[in-house]
Amino acid sequence: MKEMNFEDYMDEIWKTPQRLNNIHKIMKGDFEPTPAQTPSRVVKEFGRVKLLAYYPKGEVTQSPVLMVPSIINKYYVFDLAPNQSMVEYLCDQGIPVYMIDWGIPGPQDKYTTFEDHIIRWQGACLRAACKDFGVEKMHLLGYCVGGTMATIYAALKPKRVAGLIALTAPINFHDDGLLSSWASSDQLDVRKLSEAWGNIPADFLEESFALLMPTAKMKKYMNLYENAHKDSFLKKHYALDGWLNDNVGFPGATYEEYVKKCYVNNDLMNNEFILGDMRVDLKNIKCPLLVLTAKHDHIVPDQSATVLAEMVGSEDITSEQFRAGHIGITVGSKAKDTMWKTVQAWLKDRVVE
Amino acid sequence: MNFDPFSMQKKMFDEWEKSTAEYVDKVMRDPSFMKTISQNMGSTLDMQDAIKEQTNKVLKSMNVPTEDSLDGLYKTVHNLETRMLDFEEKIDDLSDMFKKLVEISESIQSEAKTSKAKPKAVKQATKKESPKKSK
Repeated sequence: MKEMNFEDYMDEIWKTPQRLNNIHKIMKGDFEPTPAQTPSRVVKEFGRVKLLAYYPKGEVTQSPVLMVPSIINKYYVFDLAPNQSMVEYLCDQGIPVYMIDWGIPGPQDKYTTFEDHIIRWQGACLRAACKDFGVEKMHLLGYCVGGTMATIYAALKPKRVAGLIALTAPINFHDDGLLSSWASSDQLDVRKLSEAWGNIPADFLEESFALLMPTAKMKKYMNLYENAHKDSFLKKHYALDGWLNDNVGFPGATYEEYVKKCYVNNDLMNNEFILGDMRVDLKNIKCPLLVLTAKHDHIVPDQSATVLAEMVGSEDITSEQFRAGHIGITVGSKAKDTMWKTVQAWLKDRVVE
Repeated sequence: MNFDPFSMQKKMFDEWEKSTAEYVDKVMRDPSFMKTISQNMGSTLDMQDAIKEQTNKVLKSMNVPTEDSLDGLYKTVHNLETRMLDFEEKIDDLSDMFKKLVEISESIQSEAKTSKAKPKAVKQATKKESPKKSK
């Protein structure tokens, strides 16, 4: 145990009025999150789905990248707040960024399939981004489910994919994680859920994720109390918390397909994944590949994502693992010096002509 | 001063958090827990279905559109959206093909121009050479 002197005691005691002052500020709403501040332009809209473009303020020095976020979270995880934004960082490095905003599923989306998301919307966004920038091909960066979707797209329609970055993208769904054990269990009747609700409500998904780490909320509040005297901490904390509480529902048909094909049958791993009338063979991915994983990921365990590197037909494969969690890898305090920097360096070495 | 209540409190919390998380994880992996949860969820969904059915009957008797009658509309909207995206993809593919055709025809035209220009140059050269020879 650390030895404490009188000054340490006084420091610790002095934090209390600062904490109280900040609690007052929290109640006033001084730390209300203001996400998605990086200037963007809507390139095209496809129903609820939008394609956004972010351009560097200075010279464009590298090839553009299309980011594919998860379909159950808002896209602005990549643009939480100024100085806490991967998009802003990449633009500062001279990389134009395109982003898919999946929007909020409406009642008609209960019929929206995985194929609609992967081939139709993602494909339309990639084509529109290529057209907008005047290139034939573009790099794809997919996060979480978005990573799985980008991987499937690269295997089925490699024509416009210059390179693939799979950021904590689940490929092997039969891992030792709790989520895998629930979803692959025969006790979960996904058909009944989607028939009753249409789209799977965001609250249900949020509670399920909370159950994966039931003590996480307590830990969060403990951490908040410990650091409540720091304004900079509170700003970052509420920016992330705002995103975590701003989830969207899972379109019914896609949810059913995702759970059955991925979690129950593990079709991607067995090379039996059928999308529409096409079979997904990951060996068809011949483009450069960057696999990014998080060591302490409780949603997509490390082994579930790293396996992609062994399954593709690419010759240019890079794998990196970071000491972070599923969200920390993208928005944590070390994300800029670790994951963002790795992506930027990888893109720099792979300029698309 | 060796006593530090602040870090002691933190250490106690960390220990509690670790052991609780381990215990809860074990409980939630238990098949009997899963069974109970899914049974509860199943009966909640059955109840929701029953309420929906009754509500639909009442709304139908009042000539008010029900969720089921709107469902057809949702399906149509979804089908239209997907067909539109399919058409867009086909149009993009066609425009790519058209671009390539234009490029090919342009290169053929330029090749034809250069091949036409070459014999002229030869003729001009022979014309220029012939007077020299006569001299």
